[in-house]
Amino acid sequence: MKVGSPWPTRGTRRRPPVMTSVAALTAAVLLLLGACGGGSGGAGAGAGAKGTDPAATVTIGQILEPSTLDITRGSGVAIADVLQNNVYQGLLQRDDTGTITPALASGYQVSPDGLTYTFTLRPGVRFHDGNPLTAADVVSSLTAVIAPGSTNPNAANLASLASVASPDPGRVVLTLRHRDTNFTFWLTTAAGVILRRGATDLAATANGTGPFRFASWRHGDSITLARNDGYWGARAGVAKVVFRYITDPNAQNNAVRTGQVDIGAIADADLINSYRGNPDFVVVRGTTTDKFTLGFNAARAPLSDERVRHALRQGIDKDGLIKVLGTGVRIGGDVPPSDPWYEDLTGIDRYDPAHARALLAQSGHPRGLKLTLTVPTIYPTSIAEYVASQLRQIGVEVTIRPVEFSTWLTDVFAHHDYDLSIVDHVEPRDLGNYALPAYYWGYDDPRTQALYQTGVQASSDKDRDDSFRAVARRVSQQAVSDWLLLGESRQVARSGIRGYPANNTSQIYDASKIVVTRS
Amino acid sequence: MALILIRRLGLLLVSLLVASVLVFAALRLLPGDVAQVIAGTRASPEQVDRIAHQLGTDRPLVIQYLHWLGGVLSGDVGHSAVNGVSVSGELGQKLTVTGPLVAAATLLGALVGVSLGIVAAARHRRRSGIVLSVLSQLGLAVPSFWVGLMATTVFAVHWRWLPAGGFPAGGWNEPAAAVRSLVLPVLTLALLEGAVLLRFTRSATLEVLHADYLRTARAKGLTRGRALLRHGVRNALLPVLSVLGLEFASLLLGAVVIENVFSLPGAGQMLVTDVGNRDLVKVQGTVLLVTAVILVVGFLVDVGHHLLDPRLRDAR
Amino acid sequence: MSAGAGAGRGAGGIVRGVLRTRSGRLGAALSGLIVLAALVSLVWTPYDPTQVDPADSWAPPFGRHPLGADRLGRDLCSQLLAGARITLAVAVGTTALAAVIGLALALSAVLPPPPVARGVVHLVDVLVAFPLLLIALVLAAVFPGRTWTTVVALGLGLGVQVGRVTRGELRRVLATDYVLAARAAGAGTGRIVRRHLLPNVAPTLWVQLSLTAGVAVVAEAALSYLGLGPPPPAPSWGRSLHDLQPYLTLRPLVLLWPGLAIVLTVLGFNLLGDGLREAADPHLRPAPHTAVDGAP
Repeated sequence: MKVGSPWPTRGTRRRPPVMTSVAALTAAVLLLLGACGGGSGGAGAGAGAKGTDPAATVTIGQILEPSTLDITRGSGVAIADVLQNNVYQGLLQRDDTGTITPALASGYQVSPDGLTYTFTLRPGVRFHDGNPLTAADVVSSLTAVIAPGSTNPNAANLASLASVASPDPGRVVLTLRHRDTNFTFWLTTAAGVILRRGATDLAATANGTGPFRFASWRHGDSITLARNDGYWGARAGVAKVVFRYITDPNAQNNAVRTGQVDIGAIADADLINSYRGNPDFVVVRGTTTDKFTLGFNAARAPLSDERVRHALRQGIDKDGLIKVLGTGVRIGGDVPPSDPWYEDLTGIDRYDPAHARALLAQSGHPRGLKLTLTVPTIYPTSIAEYVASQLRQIGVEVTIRPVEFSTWLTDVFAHHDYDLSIVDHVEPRDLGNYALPAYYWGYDDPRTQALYQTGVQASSDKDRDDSFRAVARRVSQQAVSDWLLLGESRQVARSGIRGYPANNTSQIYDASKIVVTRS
Repeated sequence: MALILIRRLGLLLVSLLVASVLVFAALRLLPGDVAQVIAGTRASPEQVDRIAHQLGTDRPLVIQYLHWLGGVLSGDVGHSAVNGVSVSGELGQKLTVTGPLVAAATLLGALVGVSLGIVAAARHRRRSGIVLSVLSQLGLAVPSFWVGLMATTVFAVHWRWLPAGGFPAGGWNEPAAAVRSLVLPVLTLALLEGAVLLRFTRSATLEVLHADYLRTARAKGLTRGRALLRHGVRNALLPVLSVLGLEFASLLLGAVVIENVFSLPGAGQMLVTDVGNRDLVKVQGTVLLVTAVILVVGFLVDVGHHLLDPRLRDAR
Repeated sequence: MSAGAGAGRGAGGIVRGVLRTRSGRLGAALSGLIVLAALVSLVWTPYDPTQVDPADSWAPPFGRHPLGADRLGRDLCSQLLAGARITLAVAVGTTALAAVIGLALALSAVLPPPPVARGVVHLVDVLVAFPLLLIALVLAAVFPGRTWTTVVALGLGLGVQVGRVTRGELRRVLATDYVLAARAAGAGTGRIVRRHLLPNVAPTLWVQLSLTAGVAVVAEAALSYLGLGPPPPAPSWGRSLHDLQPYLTLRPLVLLWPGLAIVLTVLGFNLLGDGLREAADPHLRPAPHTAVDGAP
């Protein structure tokens, strides 16, 4: 069981993220990253790389600030974004291309039935406070997540984990309830981070094992990380990384222009275009797992009628939306192209307003419908306004109800009190939401649930991919949601800075490979 | 006089109590729940309940209020439900940005607005007076975030004279950088304040200009300017002082906008974020402290009134 | 000012008085223009102001769209006209609410017996200190997606301020000889309020309210900037200005119109207020032979 967190990440507040095709420029950066990624800690661009400045400070402009540093208690993706891989690490870790590599474990073995994972701990790893990493730390961290009464918001990620034990100081054994084809993936999420046992004051400070140690947090402004010189892997390329949080898009843009931040998250297509041809800056485009989803409340009329949902989907021109926003990729289902079980589903419910009107008439609404669209204010209103305007063309009068995200969580997510809702489901691999009958979409389909479970417990990658593909297709064919667009990640960086992640597919911003060229 | 002071002080405390009830009640109207915000979208409903129980937000409202009030009376305004920081400590840090911003803007606005207002009134039939009046009209008519945007675009992005936003990491340990980063925000906010005060001073002075005592003063041979300075300004300043007190209350709205435009880590921004997180204990603590500051300022203005106005000195 | 200064002349007299001043004329003209735009938008706009059209994204001005189109391809001219309606509604609604709240607070602060009145005075002091921002935040969260939450938040906040100023005026009038004389002659409270208090505070109140209308327009823009203004897709000028602000340097022209509209409206209301003041105050009313003066 896993549930997508709809917090927007970098580049998604007020305007969703980026581009359509990976430009030549981006390809170059990706190649560079490909060279750095993998293995332990980045080989290509470590502190010793020639022509780079290991004493440099890099300031990264971001949009959403975490509200707490406690990764075991807070749910927003902003926490993991800054702390995971940088300060906290798991047994395994994942880079921005989705590749999973060993981290605090040097390797692992899986039993033939897929129920027992034996991890060998990496020797010589120390926490930032000097204490050595022990098997007991791993056991206590993971046990706390799955313990009854746990308030870890990501506990659902490790739902298949039954117990954690350590047969000897160098090894940890994880026993599963059932086969879980995504288990190693879940270990790389915030649920899998290893903390020093008995750690306290997690909300204000962080004691991890990663390439950076937590230095300071100026609330409402920035979080500073400093290089961990005692790091077990390749040392970070810069001495300090400052994550600066700037919500106003204009202020973010100005900060990039005037050099106050070295890498900025600029979502707006027009603003991004204004950097074209400027030799002082590099525009980096990447992919994301940000699925802007128009949710239908399928548990209540009139959206319980599949024909109405098809009509709404067919009444919204997604290509037009992507065109006016100047950003986004069209997807016909919940799976982004970066997942192995992706399939092009854009042929389902193509834009056809005439047919949409006919469908509405057939389903007993010849004179149209009145619906309310509840949308969190963290997102740009333009998407909601676009959807409302399009649906009016097929006779559906939409009232936009902008609410704070906290209200959305209670009204829509917890109490299912809504007709339509637009939320950016940023979580990777959140297809399982459609197999949760209690989820806010009110979609309860035993066949979909069975198919999904088959995929989770499949014994081969091919079987898993086939099952998940079938789930995604079925959900799209039943018009459970409409997927408005897949966001794109865009950053503008000062020339001379390299090694930052281009994609936003993991809720992790690994800063350890960033280097600054000496000018 | 001392008696009045004591009575006013007592009233101040009662006012604060009323304010605390108002804030507490108003915030409980808000939909949404901090436990759900903390838990996010992956936690189960049972987990949300558990968090609410840990935070004590599942207790009856009266108990919650009394608990909070008890804390306030013992000097603890509360702690954030989301990250546990103490409200007074956090607010204190935020006020090192917002305080100087608001204070400098008010001072600058008052200085420029009042003096130019008097000039505008004294010359209200001449060109310079009319120009001043028109300028104040424009200052009132332009939304402040608009002025801020223009100012950053011109002075920070184009000419690079001043930083485009933010506050130095070292805060006031880097005094030069801190001052530089506040120049544009202060000017933007002061423009608005100055325009308001210019208008009020002008009209207050205009009224005084025709008062009998001023005529008498002129009849005694004083020039118009002298008469105005000696007798008029003090009388004209009374309503201006009231306006200044009133303006202070809406300053938080002005400040939060300015903080956003210039990405300053200030108290206004914090309040908006906390309301968004439904961190109600933190919000009510913040608002109570800010209200207390405003009430104390009002109290001081009142005392100032009594000192300035001989008629009030013995009244009330 | 004598008892009849404000009361003697009827509404027509005040209007004529206002139009005799230069600022009054200018203010009336500008305000009239806004009202006209709002009225026109009720029956006609070039396009549906909320209709998106991907083909017309950022369409240039003076073509199919008189002022161009925004990112979603919505006609900016239509938005500007329809925005006049919303902005005017917010301004008028806020002012009316502020007037009612202000008068009620002011009257109940001077008329009832001292203990009650004093209580009201202090309540007003507390309310003045209560952040307007918080009221707006709470209202917008409790009743999302309604324009009237903006009106109520601003009306409450500004009404308390109007009440404070009006209270001062009322106290002044209450202490005048003619009110004392009327009291002595046995006039009831209602009669004193109707015959003496209201007519005599009317000039100040009108001035205050015209200023309040101007403040409401600017404050609506500030609230819109924070996402607390009228909900989408209502194209209030404040919201347009906020939505378009990232394009300040890239497309300055699209920002010019809502910005200009706000400035002119506030200017209109404020000038009207000046005109009212001059018309109401005999000292400031220009003598017939110096009719050109009328400082704004």
